[in-house]
Amino acid sequence: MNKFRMSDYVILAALLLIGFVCLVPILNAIAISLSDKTAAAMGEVVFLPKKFNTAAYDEIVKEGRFFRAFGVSIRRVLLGVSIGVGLSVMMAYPLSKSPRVFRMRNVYMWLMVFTMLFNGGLIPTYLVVKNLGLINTIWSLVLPGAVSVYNTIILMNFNKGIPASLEESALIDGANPLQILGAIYIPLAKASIATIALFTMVHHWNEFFLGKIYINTLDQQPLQTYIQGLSVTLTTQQMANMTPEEIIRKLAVSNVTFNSAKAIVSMVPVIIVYPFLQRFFVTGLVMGAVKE
Amino acid sequence: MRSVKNEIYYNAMMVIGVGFLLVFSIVPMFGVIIAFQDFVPARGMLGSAWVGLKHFNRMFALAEVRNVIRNTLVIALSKIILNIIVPVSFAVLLNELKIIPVKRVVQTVVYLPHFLSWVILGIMFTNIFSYTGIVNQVLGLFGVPPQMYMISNGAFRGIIIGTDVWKTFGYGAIIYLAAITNIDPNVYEAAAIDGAGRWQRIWYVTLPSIQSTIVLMSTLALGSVLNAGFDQIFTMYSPLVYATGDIIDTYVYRMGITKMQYSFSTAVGLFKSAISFILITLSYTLANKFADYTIF
Amino acid sequence: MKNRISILLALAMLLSLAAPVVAEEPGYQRYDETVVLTTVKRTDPNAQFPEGDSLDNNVMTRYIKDKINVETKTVWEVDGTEFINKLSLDIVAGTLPDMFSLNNDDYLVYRQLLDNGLLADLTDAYEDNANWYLRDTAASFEGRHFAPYTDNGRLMGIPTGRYGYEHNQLWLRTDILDAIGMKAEEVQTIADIEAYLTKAKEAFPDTVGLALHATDPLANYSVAYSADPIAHVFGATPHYWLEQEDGSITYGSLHPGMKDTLAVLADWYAKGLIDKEFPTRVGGGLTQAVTTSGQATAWFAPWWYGWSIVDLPKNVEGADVAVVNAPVNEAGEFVAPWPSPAGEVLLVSKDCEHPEAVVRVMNLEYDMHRGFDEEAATLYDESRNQNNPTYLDISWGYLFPTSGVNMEYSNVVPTFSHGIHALVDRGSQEGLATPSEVTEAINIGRFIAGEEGYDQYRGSYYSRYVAGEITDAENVKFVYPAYSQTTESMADIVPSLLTLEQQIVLQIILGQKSVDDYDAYVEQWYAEGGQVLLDEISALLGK
Repeated sequence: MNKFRMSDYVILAALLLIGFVCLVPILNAIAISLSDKTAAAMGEVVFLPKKFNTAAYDEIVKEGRFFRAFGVSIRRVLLGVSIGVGLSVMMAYPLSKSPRVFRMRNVYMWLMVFTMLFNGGLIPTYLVVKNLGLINTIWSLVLPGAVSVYNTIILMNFNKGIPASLEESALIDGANPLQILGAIYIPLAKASIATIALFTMVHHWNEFFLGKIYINTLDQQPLQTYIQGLSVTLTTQQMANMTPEEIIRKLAVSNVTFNSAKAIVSMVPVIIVYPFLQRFFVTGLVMGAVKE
Repeated sequence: MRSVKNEIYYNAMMVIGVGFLLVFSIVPMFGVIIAFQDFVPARGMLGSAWVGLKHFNRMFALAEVRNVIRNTLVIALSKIILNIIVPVSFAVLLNELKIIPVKRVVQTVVYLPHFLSWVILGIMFTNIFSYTGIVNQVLGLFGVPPQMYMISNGAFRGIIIGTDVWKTFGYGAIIYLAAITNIDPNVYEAAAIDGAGRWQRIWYVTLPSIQSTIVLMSTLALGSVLNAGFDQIFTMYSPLVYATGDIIDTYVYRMGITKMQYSFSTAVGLFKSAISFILITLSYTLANKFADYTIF
Repeated sequence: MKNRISILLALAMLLSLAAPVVAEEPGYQRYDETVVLTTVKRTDPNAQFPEGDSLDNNVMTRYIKDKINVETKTVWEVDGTEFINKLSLDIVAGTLPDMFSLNNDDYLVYRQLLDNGLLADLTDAYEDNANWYLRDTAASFEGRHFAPYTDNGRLMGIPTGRYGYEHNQLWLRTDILDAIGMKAEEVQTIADIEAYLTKAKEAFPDTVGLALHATDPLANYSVAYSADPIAHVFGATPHYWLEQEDGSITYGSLHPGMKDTLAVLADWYAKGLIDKEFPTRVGGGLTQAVTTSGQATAWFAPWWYGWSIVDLPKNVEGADVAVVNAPVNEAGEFVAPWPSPAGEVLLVSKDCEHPEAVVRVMNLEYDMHRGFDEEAATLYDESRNQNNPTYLDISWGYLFPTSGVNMEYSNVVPTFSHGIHALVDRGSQEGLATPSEVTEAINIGRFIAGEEGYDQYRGSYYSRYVAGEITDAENVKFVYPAYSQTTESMADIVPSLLTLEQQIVLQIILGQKSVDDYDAYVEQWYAEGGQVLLDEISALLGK
């Protein structure tokens, strides 16, 4: 096994190729974003920028709208993570108790699983959000999906693994469950909580659909919703429905370099947390999917 | 150790989260009644006329619904199958690589796409598959005339399935890698002493060891037979590829919102939810029975 | 020339067409208590308001508030492609805004709203309040555009007529014509065009020839770079629903003339007379770039295309354009399509307490924008000058509280052009309908005279002075559509049929398929839903 054989080279080459293929779209987008507009649109750009320039990035900085949407997304992530993770932490603890200790436990559990399996659909949910007066507020992006049943279950399973003896001595000392959660469970579950926090963050950062439905004004739009709106491809049918001025305007905003630059910049936060993510998600995934 | 005092605390800790679920998930479920009505917004859910199964009958009579269901099944099943084969193959291959730093780098790179949004990837893949994109340039070297793949019914499904595999295979492999790490190194050594070559080792040691994980993941995937990936298709499709790329979720969205067929779209959505519900329950029951798997 | 223009300007000021608006005139009554109208808008990404101004607080809304005490509140605004989706959510939630506009293509949405009883009856509001301008422009369409929006004799929306004369014309480069010794007037027939393209290519090998639409080379109406004028020579009217001599309904792209058209285009493409890379220029204004960069020697485009090529002289020194009604058919006629009678429509919610306020707002919008109220026009110009001077022009529909509903005379394109010619060439003001037209004409005149600081009117000059002038020339003959609204199945069937058609058209032009393969498409068209559409339209038209 110590000798490097022909087949080892083949495997090495295959894996390097696979790794490279995973980067192709990103490298291509970076190259396009740094290229001349016309060269990019003409398909002259592969992995190296043609007529290198940063005009697309300058334009993003100037535009204002991009960073306003960026700001909305940051706020959404902060609120979404703190509320979502807070609720999961709160709920995972009582749910990790057996029905003998917490009689209502299975009722709650079934209710939660049911909401995971079945939903009322877009329109009824919209009506609820609307009637609560949340339309066009940041809360419409945060509250409807605030409880992640999946994350709660991951955390609950982790909590189940914490020895009961730790808790029992504290109970005898007269601590209440809230204190036990704070003093025993949260410190022990730090890694799991970090995992779901990172997952929640990525989810809120990447989600675009709620922004499309619940947000009415441009200055409240989260980043992915904003970018999705840009990349709408124009079909002839749509063009037929638009006035010439509209088409010209639309085509002017849907330009390849500019959009690629926006895609690249919007990836930055994910890339920044990616090293942390990578530390945690292996455990997180194995915990959540195969609990043996 | 049951204590009423503690239970009060437990219930209190549940109350906010469950409240959110009641408001945002349970209450809207009552909205599915419009699937059995001719819902007129001005009259509301209480004032609209009841029509029984009219919308469901219409749904089964419409060729486009059949087409949408077919697309959903083809895309979802292809994804399910490939998203097991490719990650397993990759995990096995990666396990054969003995240069640890390279292994790390490859892992870092292949996990990344999982965390990127379809909105962003949609832009990138549109670039790549565009008339002047990389794919046409590379194929052009072999004399293949350029095509507009994103709007071609012949290519669209392939793109959807392929890019989904591209996005998820690395991340999906983690679970198999974890299973492979659990294999006792002595077994490999014993196999080597017996004169087993690399492929024999893979075939007789590695694969059987992760067989149970493969079976489990396949069973769990059964629940997503009707989930062909809304976000992905929504950000990549266009009316030109409805014939092959329109799936139940995108169809429900367009019917319900753009075309204002509120009752009809709710009926189609309800149909999908009901089937999915049955499939998921079935898959978990199977997983529980044969793999001793429980989620809660 | 310079002097004459200045004199004209003074004259124009004296002869201002504006008539003072008398208070309490019908349609101008002021409300004692402020009326607030809610509305929704399609985003205009280019709109820039002066500091402190916004959609609900700008020169026009202040004027309206001041005159009749009506305010507007924009509840939401989205990109045009998302508009119907948002509106749909409002419908389902029962919170329709007081007023909003729809395109003619959203006709089924209008039907849906009507069937749900969500629309206000505007008959009285319009009858009692519409000012002369609204009535006059409507009259120029002879009421044809009201028909689709009338239900049991009641007016359920205020539509605009879609004005005609926006068909494609042939745009040529005068600098190239000079170089190869041709005159624009000599380019008449298809053969003439071929001769021009051939000589242009020989003289300027770096050019690409005729620019062509990347995905829809034979489109229906007002689509720049579509070569549909060639199809018209052979009697075909692509994408149109037409009535045949026997009264039956047909689809224009099925006409045998399509094959002749494709034969010409395929031949030209093979000879290198058409931009070799035209199918790659999808999106991003790429085909436009080919024309403004000077690479294209000719292209088909409507009168408004002048605004798209203002940069041409910057890119190619001495470059200029001419517009001709070519190609003509054997009878010497230049056949052009006429559009659908209705354009956008303004609808009012049944919950709106003051539907008449909507009409009054419209009156004032045009008083200001068209300059019938001189004071208002001054305010408008002041606000406009605080900005990029073109901004209010691009986005006037966005600025209007009633959105993009554009009330115009059906023949505004040629009459305005004739008016400009009358003023600039002969010093007569008779042809100009509104004060804002007079201003525009004077500015174009100053551009022609080469006055400093008027280069921004180059686009207006090409479009209004050059191209618009010949849109109603004597030899122009119009083809009228038999039907132009949507039908029940159209949304489902048309996109795929259109794709089929565009595919085969592209393949034939590129030489990948032979012209005779078009017959297979025609058969396929009938089989894949075309017949259904013909039947639906025939039924709707009572045939």
